[in-house]
Amino acid sequence: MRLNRPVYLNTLRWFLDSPPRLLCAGLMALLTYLVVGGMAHMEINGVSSEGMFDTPQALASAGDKILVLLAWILGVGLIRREISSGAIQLVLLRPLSRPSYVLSKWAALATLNALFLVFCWAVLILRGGILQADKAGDLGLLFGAQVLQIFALAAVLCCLSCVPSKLGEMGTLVLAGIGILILSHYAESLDQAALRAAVDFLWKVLFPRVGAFMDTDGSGAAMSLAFNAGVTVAALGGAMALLQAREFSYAETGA
Amino acid sequence: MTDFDEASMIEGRGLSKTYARAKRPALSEVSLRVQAGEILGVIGPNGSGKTTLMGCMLGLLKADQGASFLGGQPVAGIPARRLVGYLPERLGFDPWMKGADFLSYHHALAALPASDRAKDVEAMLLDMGLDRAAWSRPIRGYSRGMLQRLGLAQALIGKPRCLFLDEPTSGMDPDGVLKTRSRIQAFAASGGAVVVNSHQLDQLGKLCHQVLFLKEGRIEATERLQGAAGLTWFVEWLPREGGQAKAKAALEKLDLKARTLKASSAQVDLPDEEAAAALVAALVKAGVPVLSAGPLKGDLERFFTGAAHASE
Repeated sequence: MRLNRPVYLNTLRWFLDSPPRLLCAGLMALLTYLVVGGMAHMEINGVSSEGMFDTPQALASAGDKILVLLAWILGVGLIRREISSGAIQLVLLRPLSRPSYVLSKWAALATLNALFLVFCWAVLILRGGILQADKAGDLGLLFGAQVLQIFALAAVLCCLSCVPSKLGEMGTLVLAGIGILILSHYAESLDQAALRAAVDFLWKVLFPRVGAFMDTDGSGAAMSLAFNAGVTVAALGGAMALLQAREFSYAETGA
Repeated sequence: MTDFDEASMIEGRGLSKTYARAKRPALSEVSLRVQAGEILGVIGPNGSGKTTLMGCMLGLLKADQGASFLGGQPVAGIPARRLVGYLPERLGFDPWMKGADFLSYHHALAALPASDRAKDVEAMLLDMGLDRAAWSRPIRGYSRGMLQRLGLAQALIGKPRCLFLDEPTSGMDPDGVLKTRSRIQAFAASGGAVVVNSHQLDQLGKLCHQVLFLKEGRIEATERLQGAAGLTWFVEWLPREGGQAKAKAALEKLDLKARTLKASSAQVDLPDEEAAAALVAALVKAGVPVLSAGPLKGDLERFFTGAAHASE
């Protein structure tokens, strides 16, 4: 299984071809610049945040929500769009394996999100001046955790994109969210610790965020990194298995 | 290029397929074989299983039973997919791509050398007669006929040996139909194997060496057409004294043989449409007052209706 360069490059071109998608991504970048960059300079009750700013915590909480949103904006329709139009049939008849196709799609989405992550960090470092020597290790680990968060998000989107459902990724996600909320309600009312842990796990899988691990202890970033590495592998494997098992006929195309 | 089994470039063995929640099988024990240089037409009423057969042959659908092979290789493998070109009936191309970019993409997907890409794409677009101005326009603005031409170019760009075409001339103007037909014939003449699904019996009659009739997922009949890609023309003239003799002389001069030759009409087997034009010109020159001339329709239609009623 190898990355297929034409599929990878063509997917990158598809992202850049859509003006609404680019506009959304641009607005997200602006939001990052204003909000994330501004956080380092804000004053609370006349006291400057500089010097008292908990860098890893701020990066995790401010950055990862934006990254989740951006991944969804960029990634909706990643594979499903080609399944619906029937274009995937022509691609899969070429000499490439279905797992290679999934891997290439995932890599393209992960690349774009990684570029955005680098932008977020550049804003924080340049506007906030928060790169402190004593925090370098923490920041390195956090960066790694956020990269894995991006990988996991892209993999989850690939997997949802391959689910044979007429609801689309968003519909499938909303349905899954409702299911988890119902489960969560029962977990609370029945006071079931195991069920609560399962709900927490499912949220972390569906919305991979570094911040979800940051309130535990100092090892939050490392835990997030390991967890999201697992989610990435599992979701990519799921997407590949779903596509491998899938049949393609005109009945499901919107043409 | 000769690592393939040329005697069965395209082969389906006992293909059966039943869709979930369907009352009857979409395909039942369908077997077929297409040699290098041969064109097989698949005809049948709507819902007879033509597209399902193509899907199973290509590996896009999983047959419940049976297997399909391209050039002797199982269709699911990468080696078989190096040999295949496919034009679907519904042209679900990426609408945001430009025509030339779309072909470049498929050239790259076919793992052909990047150094040949621009040259191959330009040659293919010119060959398909796609207006040069359209090459750099997004596909979403293409007409049905333009999409069909682009689709055929896409099917051929990977230098396939096995070509699967689903309604290849649907929505095309007459010029496009003629170009497509000659392109398919040239492909077969170069050693390629072709399967064509179509409702256009007259087109299939002019194109195919063999025709397979499907009904309710079963092969009802197969017919090997006389003189593949050849055609029989019916010529009619005003009944004048000596008309038959003049016509006979004109035919002999062109080295053509009439199936039937009457006082005011003839049925003549011709290799192609150029020969038909030459025949009409020769008859007129010989003083035969030609009233009408055209391909004799009916062989395939009779086969179609005969096979359709045979099982009723």
